[in-house]
This record gives sequence, C-alpha cells and structure tokens, in this order.
Amino acid sequence: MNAVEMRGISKSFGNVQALNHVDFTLREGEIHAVLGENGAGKTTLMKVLYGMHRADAGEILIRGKKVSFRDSSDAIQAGIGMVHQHFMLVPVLSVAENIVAGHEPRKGFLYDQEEAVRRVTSLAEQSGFPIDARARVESLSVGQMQRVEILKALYRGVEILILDEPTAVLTPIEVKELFRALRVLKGEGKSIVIITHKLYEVMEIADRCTVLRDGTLIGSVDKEQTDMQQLASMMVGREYSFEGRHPSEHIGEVLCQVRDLSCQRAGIPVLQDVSLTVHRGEILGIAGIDGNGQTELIEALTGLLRPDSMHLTLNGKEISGDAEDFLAAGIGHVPEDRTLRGLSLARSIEENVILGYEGQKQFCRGGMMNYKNIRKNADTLIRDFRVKAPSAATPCGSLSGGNQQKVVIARVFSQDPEVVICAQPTRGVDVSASEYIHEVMLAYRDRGKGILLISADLDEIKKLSDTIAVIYKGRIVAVDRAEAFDDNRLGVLMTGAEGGEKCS
Amino acid sequence: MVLRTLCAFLLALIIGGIVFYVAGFNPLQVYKLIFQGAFGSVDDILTTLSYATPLIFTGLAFAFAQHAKVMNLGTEGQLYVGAMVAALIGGYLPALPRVIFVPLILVVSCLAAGLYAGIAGFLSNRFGANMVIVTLMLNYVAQLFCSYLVNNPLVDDQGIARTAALPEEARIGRLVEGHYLSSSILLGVALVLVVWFLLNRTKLGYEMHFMGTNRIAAQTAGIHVNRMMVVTLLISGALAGCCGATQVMGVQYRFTDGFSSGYGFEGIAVAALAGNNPLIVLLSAILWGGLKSGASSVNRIASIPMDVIAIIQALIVVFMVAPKLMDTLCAPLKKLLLGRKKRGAAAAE
Repeated sequence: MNAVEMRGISKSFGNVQALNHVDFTLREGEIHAVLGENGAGKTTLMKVLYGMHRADAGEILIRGKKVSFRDSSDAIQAGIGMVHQHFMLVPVLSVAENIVAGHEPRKGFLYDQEEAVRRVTSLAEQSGFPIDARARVESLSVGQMQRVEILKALYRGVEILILDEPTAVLTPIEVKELFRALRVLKGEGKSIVIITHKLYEVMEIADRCTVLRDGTLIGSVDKEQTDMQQLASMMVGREYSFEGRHPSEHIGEVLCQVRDLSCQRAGIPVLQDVSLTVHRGEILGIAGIDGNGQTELIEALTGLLRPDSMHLTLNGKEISGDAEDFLAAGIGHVPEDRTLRGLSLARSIEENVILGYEGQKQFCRGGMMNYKNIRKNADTLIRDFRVKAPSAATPCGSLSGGNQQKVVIARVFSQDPEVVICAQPTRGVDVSASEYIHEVMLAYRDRGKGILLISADLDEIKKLSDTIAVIYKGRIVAVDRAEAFDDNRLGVLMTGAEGGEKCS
Repeated sequence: MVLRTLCAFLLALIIGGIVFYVAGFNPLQVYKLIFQGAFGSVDDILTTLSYATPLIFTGLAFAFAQHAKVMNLGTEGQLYVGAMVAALIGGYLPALPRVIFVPLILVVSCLAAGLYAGIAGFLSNRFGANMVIVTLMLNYVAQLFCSYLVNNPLVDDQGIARTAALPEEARIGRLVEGHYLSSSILLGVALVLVVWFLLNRTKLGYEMHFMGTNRIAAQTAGIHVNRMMVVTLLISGALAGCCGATQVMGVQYRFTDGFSSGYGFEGIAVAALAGNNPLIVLLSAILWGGLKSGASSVNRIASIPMDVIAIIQALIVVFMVAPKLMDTLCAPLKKLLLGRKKRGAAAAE
C-alpha cells in the first residue's frame, strides 16, 4: 500500500499557478526525493501534504484513506511530520524540552524533566541520532539542531517524514551522518520525503525521485533506472551538461590585498590576522562552514564594519572609510542575503539596479534624479542580464529569487568595479539562473578583474575558484591552488580537524 | 487605495450613523447638515479651507517622514516651537519691511522647529533612543515651555497668557476680502508640490525611500542612514513649524497659550488618510477641515456635540489603518465593479 497518494493537486497564489495537477505517490518505507529548481513547487506540494497550504483542487490519500487537513496539527495526527528549512526551535531551552514540547511527560501537575530526558535519549539512540538531551539548543551546531527537529517529529510518532532541503545547511560530513540516520529510519519502516535540488543527493540516498518544473509534474522515476544526466534534463527542461571547472588562463599582478584583518565581536575574536590576496584574472574562493567569520569578512571588506585592524589596498592604494568610500574606490559588493542587504523589495527594479550608485552623473545632477536615464539604464540591464520582468518599474518583490539575484548581479557588474566581493551569489537561485550568474562571473574574471567568492556551497567554490582559502573560526587555515584540494582535504580543514595546516 | 479610502469613509459614516441614531438624532439629517456646513456656500468653503490650512502642514510633516520610516510623532511640539519663534521675532523685534520680514520670520521659525525635531534624531543616533517615545515626549517639553513663557515672562498687561500682537509688517494677509481665511494656504499648496518633488524627483527622496523600505540595504549601499534620519526630521519638523508660524502670522497674530487644537496629531490622521501621498494630503486635509467646520456649524444649529463628530473622524482613521479589513470588505465591491466591466466588454463584442 502507498503511504501517501496525492492526485491532481493544484494550488495558486494570486495569479501564480504554483502547482498544476500534480500527482505524487510515496511508497511505504522508501526514501523519495522531490527534485526541481527553485520555484518549481516542491515545497508548496509538501506544504499541501503537511496541511500548511490548502489545495485548490485534488485529493490526498494517506494509506488509502482520503483525508482533508485543516492545518498541520491534523497532518501530525495523521502521522506526517515536516522539518523546515528554517528551524523552529526555542534556543534557550534544552534539547529534551524542545522535543517534548506539546506532549510533555508530567509528574502530577509538574513537568517531569528527568522523564523527558530519558525518553528523548532512548529515542535518539534508537533512531541513530545520538544527541545530548540536556544541552541547550543555542549551543548546538546547525547539524545537531536539524537532528532535534527530526527527533521532534519522531517523538510525535510520525510515520511519514518530510525534510525540506535538509542538506543546504550542512557540512559534507554532517550530510553523511544525516544520510546514515535516514537509512536507519527507513529500516524501521518510515517513509521519507526529501526536497532537494541537488542531483547527487538523489543518486546517493533516494529510492525514487519525482521531478517538478514550473509547478507541473515532469515524472517519477526509480533511481535504478535513471542517471544524473536524465534527472538534470528533466529538471531544467533541456539538455544540461555538467561542465567542469574553468580555470583562469591568465592570472596577473596583485589587485587587492588584505593584511592583518582582525575583528572582535562582544569580546570574542571572530577574525584573526586574516591576510588574502586577489590577483587580476583570479577568483579567490573562501571555503568554510557558515558562521566561521565569513559575514564579518564580507562586512570588513565592504566598509560596513570597522575591524580592529586591517590594511586593505586596491591597486596599491590604501582604502579606508565607510561603505560609500569602498564602493567609490571600486570594490563591488554582492551581499550575502539579497532580501536583507541587497534589495528593497518594495522599490522598482530601475531604482534597485542603481542602489549605491545613485549619485553618479548619468543618474543624478545637482540632487535631482534623472529618471529618464535611470529607466534607460534599467531597460538595458534587464536585457543584458536576462532578468525576467514585465517592466523596469516592477517592484523587486514580485520577481522570483533568481531574477532578484540577477538584479543585484546586474547592478554590481555593470558598474565595472575592480574587484567584487561576491557572497553567496547563487543561494536560493535556480539552476539556469545560477549557470548564468557563473558565466557572468567567469567572463568578468577573464577581463582581468578579480573576485572574492564567499559561498556555503562547496560545489560552487570548487567550480569557480582559481585559488581556495579555507576559513575556520576566523582564521585562514589554508590557501592553495584549487586543484590542490579534494573533498577530503577541504572537509578536514573546514571542520578544524587536525588544527589546520601550515599557512603558506 | 482610493477604493480603500472610500470604503473606510463609508463604513465610518455608517457606524457613525448608528451612533447618531442611538444618541437620538436622524443620521441622514446630521450628515446633510455637516455637508452643508462644510461646503454649502462660498463662505462655508472658505471656513473649511481655514480649518484645513494647519492640517496641510502637519499632514505633510508626518507623511514626509513616514517615507523614510521615521516616526515623527512630535509635530505638535514642533509646531509650538515654530509658533513661539514666529511670535517672538514678530512681536518683540523691530519690524522690517513686509517683503523681507514675513519670509524671514517664516524661515527662522521653521528652521527652529526643524532643529527641535533634529534633537530626536540626534538622541536616537547617539544614544539609541526610541524615536516614537522621544518625539512624543518632546511634545510636552515644547508645549509646556511655551506655556511657561506666555504665562510668566511674556504675560501681557491684562494678565492674559499671550505674546504681544504682531505688527502689520509681520502678518500674512487674508486670501479674500471679507473672510478670515489666511493666504498661508497658498504656502501650504506650494509645499505640497515641493514635498512631492522632494520625494519623487530628488536623490534625497530616492535615498529616503530605500531607507524606509530596507534600512540595511540602504546602509549596505553606502547611504548614511543616521545622517538621513536627521535630515528627514529637520525637514519634517520645519513643515510642522510652518503650521505654527502661519497660525501665528496669518490667523491669531500672536502666540496664545494652547492655540493648537491638536493640529499635530490631526496631521497624523490626515497623513494616514492620504496614505502618506503628499498630493492626497491636500485633499484629506480639506476633507478633515470640512468635517471640523461642518461639525461646528451642526453644533451651532442642532446642538449636537462636537465629540460625536470626533467619533467619525476616529473611525475613519481606525478603518484606514486596518488595510486587511478594508481589502476584505473591498473585495466583493471590486469584483462587482470588474464584473460589470467584463460584462460590458462582452456586451460590446
């Protein structure tokens, strides 16, 4: 019998058809990957199953029985659990407290902490997720927090577990651990769905795979009968090739040099004696697990944060001041988080695409904005950077993530800065847009400019970088040519095992 | 947006009507009287405009700052500063020829009010003070200090709490013969256009909008948001100061204790009703002025207390600031309108 059967599910938000008559079947005891680009409707489909969205049409059967969920508590009752991309945990409470919340063991009228710890510990061991039940959640690593989320679902007795992009936040080693645990759960007869856009994950962990594109079902295939090539083509809707690396053919003189960058936050050193050099025609990739000082590094190099010490030279000229000065000196900045730092979603594309450069002569004279030129500039960039938008006056908030990111990319690269601090350039961006953004970056490098690439996506770092520097706890623990690293060495360095290598 | 405003207005009238009915009046009769009182004759319209004039300034002041998400709740205090400075210069310094004196007083008093508003920006930047609380509290400082001035050092011979009368050279004249409506309404209309231009055509407006919609992104792009906040408050305060100064120079010809009937706070309502659009501020100020002047004439004719009218004013604001409620209510209306259009199109084919 099938654990879940969804038939003809449709769902629209306003004018956007997020799902269009999608069928989905989850067999008992399988690991099923839902694959698709961002915006393909993967998460929406699963949220319909989890009762967070109500489908406009279609029916859902759980173990052959028709159900209609009003909200997710109905879904949990029916044995469905979902772990979201953004964790929903209370940081100041312990692991055990987070897990049992809502179904606490009691001693009389009181909450029984010991019993909770006992239950959680045994559940954790049983499921292959060893964890310290007494630890406070805020002291855990991201991978451990994810375990807590999964355990929370298991504690409520779910039989069907949905994981939304579970590996997006994990290190390669944590991914391995997660997959091991998922296999244990599968062995216990649980049915598992993982939402992903990473093909190799599908090949590694899934039994079957359902591919969505633009809200429609492309097909469901058994892993045994498919390969990455086929899945990729199904996902993007055309022949897709896995290009390898594109090493720079000509790395020139020193372009941008950072020396002795140190910085403390609340008395804790977050960056220590960081020194980096970007040459002309070079992409320098910073590999590291999120939260090892990357954010501070980006902020220091773009003038947003005044570090305790730093010498930054561009073409031999010392640069200091605030964000305005850094931009004017020719350091472009693609922010880590486009909705937080990159764009104002309420404002139009034409306005966003000159943000930070609005004082330039062609846009502004004597304090007056020249909206004719601004419009012309936006129209050109929309065409050149293939932004899909109805017009330049469209607010950025109504664009898809990939197109929003293209607006940021267009803004920075069209200004022709000497060096670009490029942070998470393709985070949350679909495959075709990422491909395009990578092309832009490579072409820019080939024109003899430099890029400092900071990305949590190791594949991106490996694909684009000419040189890789590994950051761990605010220190650069290794710098080398990209070819000199393999996954193993990167993994070891990123997790700080062996205390890092000698920095050359 | 227009539909929403209309909807809010209608709903307020309906619920206000129930209140009137319960209070023992015929709502339709009352509304008719209010409308006649506000717009019934040329004279009534001029009265309405004179009620609207101070609200144009304070409405603009609040709306302007809102575009940068700066909550200037201190317009009341700022207009007191503007009024007092105007009264002091006009009433106690030797008069200059009118062409110089009037603009000079206006500029200095607005500047003073702007600087007074700037204090809130400084405190917020320097010490992380909460903008809402600081601007709100500075109202009391200004109001009470002005009250102290007119009650103590400046009190006149008859013991009335007011400053000396302004000489002819410091007065803004009347707009038309035979009605007390001040020409300062022209200044108000001009400022509506100026504010619109500032917001929509200048670099200042561009940067304010980014600061207002995503402060962190603005900062990332090198916009000095702290500096911008002070500039925003300076301009907003100066606009509020204009309200006080023109009341002194164009209506009262002196500073009288407690001369403002809450123009600053009414300005917030006017701005909210206009969705912070400076052009619509003009209309909503006139509407608001109409309600006030209509209410006072109803009060005279039918002895309905002004407070009941205030209920309607409050209801309009309450409904305006609940956009979700309005959207829900507007949805069937919209559908009806669109449906008719579609049917019309179909019929045309």
